[in-house]
Amino acid sequence: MKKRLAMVLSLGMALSMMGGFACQAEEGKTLKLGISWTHYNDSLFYSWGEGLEKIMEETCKDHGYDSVEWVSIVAEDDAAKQAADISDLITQDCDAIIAYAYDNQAIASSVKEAQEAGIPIVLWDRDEAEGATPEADLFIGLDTYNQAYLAGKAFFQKMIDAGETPTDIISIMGATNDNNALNRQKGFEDAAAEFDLEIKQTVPSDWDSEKALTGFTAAWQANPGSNCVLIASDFIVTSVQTVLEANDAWYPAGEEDHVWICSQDGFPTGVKFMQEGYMDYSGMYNVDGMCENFANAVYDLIDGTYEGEAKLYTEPMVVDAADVDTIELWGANYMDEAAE
Amino acid sequence: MSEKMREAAGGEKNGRPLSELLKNGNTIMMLLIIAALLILSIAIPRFMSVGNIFNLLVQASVIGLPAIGLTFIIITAGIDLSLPTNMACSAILGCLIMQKTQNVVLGVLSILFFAVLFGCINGFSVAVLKMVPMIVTLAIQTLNTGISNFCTQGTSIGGLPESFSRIFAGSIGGVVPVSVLVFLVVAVIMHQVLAKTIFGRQLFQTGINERAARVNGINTTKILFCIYVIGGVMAGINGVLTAARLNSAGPTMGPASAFNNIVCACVLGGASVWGGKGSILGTVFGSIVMAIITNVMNLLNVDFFATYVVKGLVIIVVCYLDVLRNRVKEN
Repeated sequence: MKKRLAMVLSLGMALSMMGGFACQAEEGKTLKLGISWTHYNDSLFYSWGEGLEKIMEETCKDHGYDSVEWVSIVAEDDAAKQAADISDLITQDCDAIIAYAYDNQAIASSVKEAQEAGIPIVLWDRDEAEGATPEADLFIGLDTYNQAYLAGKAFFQKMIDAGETPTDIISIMGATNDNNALNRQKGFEDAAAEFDLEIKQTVPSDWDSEKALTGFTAAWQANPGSNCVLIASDFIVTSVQTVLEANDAWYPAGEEDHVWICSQDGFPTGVKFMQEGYMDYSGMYNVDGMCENFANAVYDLIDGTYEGEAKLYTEPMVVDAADVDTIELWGANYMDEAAE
Repeated sequence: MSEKMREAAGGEKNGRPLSELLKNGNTIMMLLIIAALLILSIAIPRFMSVGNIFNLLVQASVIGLPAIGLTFIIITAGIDLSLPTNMACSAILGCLIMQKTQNVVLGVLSILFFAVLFGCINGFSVAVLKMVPMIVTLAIQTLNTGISNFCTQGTSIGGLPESFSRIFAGSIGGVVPVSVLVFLVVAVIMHQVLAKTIFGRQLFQTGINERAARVNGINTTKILFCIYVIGGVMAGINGVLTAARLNSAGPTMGPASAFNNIVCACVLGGASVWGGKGSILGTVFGSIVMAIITNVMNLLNVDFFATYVVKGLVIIVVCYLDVLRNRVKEN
């Protein structure tokens, strides 16, 4: 039994050594970037990861680097593990660290640790909680308020132009501890207020399709006359589809019982439903814009010469279903890849 | 303590030759860790840096403290699934009090109090009400999650006194992290309790055969109650240290997935899920091995999906080792 244990551990060590030597094979001046994701199981995270790799590969030579080495770690949705992961990235002497904060309060301790080690830390998409100190060297994210506000405004205008009156508006929001979710909810509320409309019922989802399904089922039963649904992220839209289909209300635009839907993010499912006419408007992530912002700032951050804004907000892409096939969308890229 | 009982507790036999020592699981584990450290230090130069070693030990302490509590429970063939959520929930409740009062002592004592309270509920349900440990602790896990989210509305509790983080997330002499020191002190104390006291001996007897232990006059109800309280204490200490490290407390602190590492550390350290076997020294080594796996994966930039695979394989290997051990014991 001990021999077997020894064999297993030896094999693991041998693999580790191979990995170690493989890492050392890189030559020339290398830019080492560490990323701490909370999870890595949806296409938006893939899109961010690939977008960052692509743009840094394209720009590194202009800044004196021969190549870019990425160290990506996933915290498995555990704030304590994310802190340990970032400690590991610091140990590895990364030139800069990008972190998608799982807990926007707890991340401050990792920011402090990185800054004490002299490593610039960039928070990605999810900013620190208000009042949390110290602040990260840079925050790169989407203007999530504008994302919902602009999409909501265009959406209501389109409904009114089509001769429809938004009735019994239901909003499915994200997690109550997420600034982005709160911003989007506020954006939708403000957009509705511009047309003297009010959101009749808000369903918290905690970014969980299952909770969205349960909550929206109850909300639809309470508001069977609703003709308008606002969704915090379109990966939840399948929950809406399930409920509307069960209530004979899932019809594409142009049909009499079509329920108007405005969503956010631009996940492949959302893009597909826009192409098919079930979803009408979306405020989508401008992934390329976020990655460009990062590339524009990171070299100066590493050199200590960055003088730009501490928070770089990328404007969202507000997309009408009618235009979905004519614009380059990150979600559409993943649909194409999946189809191939 | 009899030789058999000493062996069950992972203690070493006195005056035996090297070949006998090598039969001891803890010695093997220690040698393997040393071998792993030597090889990894060659393969990854920064692995043996002081910063990384203490970083690794901090990670081991996060796994190790609840694993020490779980070792006591596993020896009786019990389980406490609520350890990570108990840690998070107690930290949240204590940090709420600390935030309101800005009193570190009161906050820390509150964290420990709530953790022990949940441990008492577990212990009372298992020992007195004779409920199944897995179901009871699963229910407490759900209760903890509910309380955590209800009290925080899903957000984290910040605004804690600066001294809290400075004391409990600081380091002694600027080198040794407090959490590592606490982990080692707790490990030494709990090793003494398990290996050198009447309570420890009675615990093993209860784990080997509860009915026989009762017939022999051991108050098994008291033993079972106490071990879940010990689990609560460990969750509380871990809650204090983790909240100090994050300088906040929130429902994101203790995901159910954290339990995998904890139970792995125990079983890897020689504790048997069938009961009657386990040692604190082994659990400490098991925690270090689990921390090494994560740390090395991170240092080598192994793809995270491969990390999941490796961790899954480790769990399978560890479970199989436990089955083998049990088979050897039966033979």
